[in-house]
Amino acid sequence: MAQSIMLCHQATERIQEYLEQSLTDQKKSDLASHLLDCAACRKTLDDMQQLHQLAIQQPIPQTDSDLVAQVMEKIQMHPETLPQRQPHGSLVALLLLVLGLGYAGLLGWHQWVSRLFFPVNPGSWLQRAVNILDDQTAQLTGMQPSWIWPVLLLLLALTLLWNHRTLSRNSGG
Amino acid sequence: MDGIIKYVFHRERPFVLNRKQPTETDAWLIRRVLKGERNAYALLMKRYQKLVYTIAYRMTGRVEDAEDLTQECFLRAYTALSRFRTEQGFGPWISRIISNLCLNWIDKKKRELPATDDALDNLSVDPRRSVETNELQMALQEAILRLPSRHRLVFTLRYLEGHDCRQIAQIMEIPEGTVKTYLFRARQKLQKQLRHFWHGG
Repeated sequence: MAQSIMLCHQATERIQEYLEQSLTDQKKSDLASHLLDCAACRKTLDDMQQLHQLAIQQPIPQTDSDLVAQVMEKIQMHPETLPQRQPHGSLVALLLLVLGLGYAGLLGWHQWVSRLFFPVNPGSWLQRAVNILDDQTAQLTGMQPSWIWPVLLLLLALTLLWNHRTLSRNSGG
Repeated sequence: MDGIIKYVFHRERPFVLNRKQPTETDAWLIRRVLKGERNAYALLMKRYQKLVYTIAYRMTGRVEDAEDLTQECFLRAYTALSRFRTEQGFGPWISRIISNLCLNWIDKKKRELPATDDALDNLSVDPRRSVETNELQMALQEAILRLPSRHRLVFTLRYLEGHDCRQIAQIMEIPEGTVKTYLFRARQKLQKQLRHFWHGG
């Protein structure tokens, strides 16, 4: 008797798992053989399946009001509810700008940049490494070696700054 | 070079607009909203209005409350939009917002009116409930409103969008095992309450 109650209890759990389609074949056949013997559990399965169907077919309620328009109105009326923006764009842009100018200075791109970033000679090993890198890129792109990196980095920084400015202007209210 | 200049200085970037697919996605709409195009948010809301409203309705059982919560949900989502991460999908994200709003709403309601069962009282007198709803569906909706709030939420999410337990666990940010327990208990309770409809007595 005790074993039978235990089995029914298990079967109820298994029926639910069956509805969730998470039963292994072995467990499924165990359940099937229990259902053959147990009318109460058959009834439970029947009820659960009916509930399942009923819940799937539950009608979607209708609303008369235009919720989208109402929310849009609130958004327009309260410009302070704008999406909060994170300042990553401008930080990255600033970083790139500094890197670009630094690199330009390293190459002696302009006298003033050089003086700003590298008041002393950076040393021959660094200069040599930069030269190797530069020659490779120059061969690939056909640009003046000393122009490649500063130009690219400045362009990237400019893009990001421009994007950020556009964002701030449009969301500034 | 011309293309690069256009990319840097032109607001409507030609190579983004020429691609057809991205204009359809939620992520694209969200990017437009974050760039200041508020109307893109209206499009996004239209896509998810039904989902959000239905969750709210199933949780509250009242049209007015569901409408209020839907509005609140979209406003919150709007202010928090920059925190949205594309990889998680807008559907689950907005489902999580409305779910939490509903749970808070129910808790607050319980604190304010501990003795009365407001949602159930209003259910039978609400004239805007669809007339074609048959008795059994009515009984199910009533029985759902009698469930504890978290059981109710799990049951709603399970049948509304056909989410499985793993997806519900992600939306509610609780373990999958807990979702299963809630769902199984909800089903058992509903079965008990609807039994007399099926077996008469």
